[in-house]
Amino acid sequence: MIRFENVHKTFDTHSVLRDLTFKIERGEMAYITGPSGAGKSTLLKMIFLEEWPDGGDILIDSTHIDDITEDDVPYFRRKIGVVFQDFRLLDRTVFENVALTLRITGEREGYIKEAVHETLKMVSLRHKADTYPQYLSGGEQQRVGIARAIIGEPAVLLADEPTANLDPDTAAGIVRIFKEINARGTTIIHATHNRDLFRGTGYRVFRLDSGHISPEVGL
Amino acid sequence: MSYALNTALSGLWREKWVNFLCTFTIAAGLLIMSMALLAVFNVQKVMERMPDRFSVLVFLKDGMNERPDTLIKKMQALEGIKSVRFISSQEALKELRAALEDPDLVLGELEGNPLPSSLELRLERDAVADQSVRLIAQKAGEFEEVDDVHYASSVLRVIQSLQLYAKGAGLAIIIILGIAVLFVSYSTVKLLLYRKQDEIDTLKYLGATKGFIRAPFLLEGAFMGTLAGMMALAGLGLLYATMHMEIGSSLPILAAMEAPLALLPALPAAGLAIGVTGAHMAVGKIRF
Repeated sequence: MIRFENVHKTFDTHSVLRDLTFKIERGEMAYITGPSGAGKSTLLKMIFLEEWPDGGDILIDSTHIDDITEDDVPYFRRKIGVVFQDFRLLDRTVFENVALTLRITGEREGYIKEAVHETLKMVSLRHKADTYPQYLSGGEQQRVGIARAIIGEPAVLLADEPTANLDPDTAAGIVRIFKEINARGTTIIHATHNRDLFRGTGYRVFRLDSGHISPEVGL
Repeated sequence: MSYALNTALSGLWREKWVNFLCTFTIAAGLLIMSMALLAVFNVQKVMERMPDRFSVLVFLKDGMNERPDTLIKKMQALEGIKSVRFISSQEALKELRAALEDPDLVLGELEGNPLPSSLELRLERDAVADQSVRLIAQKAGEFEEVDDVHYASSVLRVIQSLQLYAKGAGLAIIIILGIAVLFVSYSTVKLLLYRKQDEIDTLKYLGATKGFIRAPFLLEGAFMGTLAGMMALAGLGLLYATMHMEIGSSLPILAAMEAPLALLPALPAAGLAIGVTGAHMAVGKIRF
């Protein structure tokens, strides 16, 4: 599904990723871990084409990213859902935040209404549809972010430190939602520095350190 | 489209004071621009009508009270002459009496008729220019029956320079204000863009196309520009009415000013163009 081959990336003179080679299978749930500044976010940004590698090959769903033109980028991104550490919700109701993904793809209003309520039910926020984000807790805001990321049924879900600002119980709740989404067939890449989240799960973990990646299993 | 419209309208409402100030500034600029345009238009109008009203008066020597047909023919043969009218001394006195408010007060003490007979030369449109009028006057003055030649040379020169400078100055004002108004519109949208940068980034991550991101900003610009154009039109209408009703009686030249009907749709259209162009420039190139 996602393949990195000898990928490297440098910012100014600082080499962030060095000779990165790994593969994530379709339907897999994998973790990227490592200390702050290890390059976890940069790696995710390369998958949703916000950053481009200085060298090497990246294939996503058999498409080489070099073959994607600038005009194709928005359409490509619709196949990838992204969940951010800082939620990135807009100053609109929960319903409108989640509906935005479908408005971008030009869905019918009837379908949008139905799909938003269905997705909000999945993240247990159906009753908060008319609430503005500032009146929600951190965990609730993150669940809105997840709902917005998955409503378009993306093939891949990227989560960049989605639980970093949340307490352990809320974080565990978010991970449970990810497992449910993954069980429906969505490939999930979860970047986190918190080892407790994947310890004992059996999921594959890729550890980034000093720009190099080493696979391990979340035992 | 409905998403773009809703977003634009809610954006306009959310930032209503900044948007109102920007709209007001664009309106003020457009109003001054249209006033400059009106001035140019009216000077142009005056210049167009001038040839029909402009005449050269050729005063004949004393005692020439009969119609001098030969001289009239010679005058008509001069280049640039459209028509020649003979005004006898009696007729001149009659015209003067008609023109004066209280003719007896001015002319009552006079014995006899002090006015000479004259020829009124009307000129072809092309001939009404400083150089050619001077040439006609010079040639007319060379005939021996002629005593003196008069024409409003200073008025001719003033109007000609007015046409030249008012047109140039008007155009300069229009261009400078046009750029200024465009810049105001550009700056406002740019300011909004800075404030909405996070929102734009989020839209990009969600797969929004450039058109989808741009549309609400362009609509906001269009709405503000059109409203500014209509405000300028209302302001101009108010000024025009005031000029006609209040100041027109004491300054007849203002009452005579005309406003072209084309300004009715042109001002909102100019506002729309400025608003959309400013917004388009401010959004600039969206890169993924």
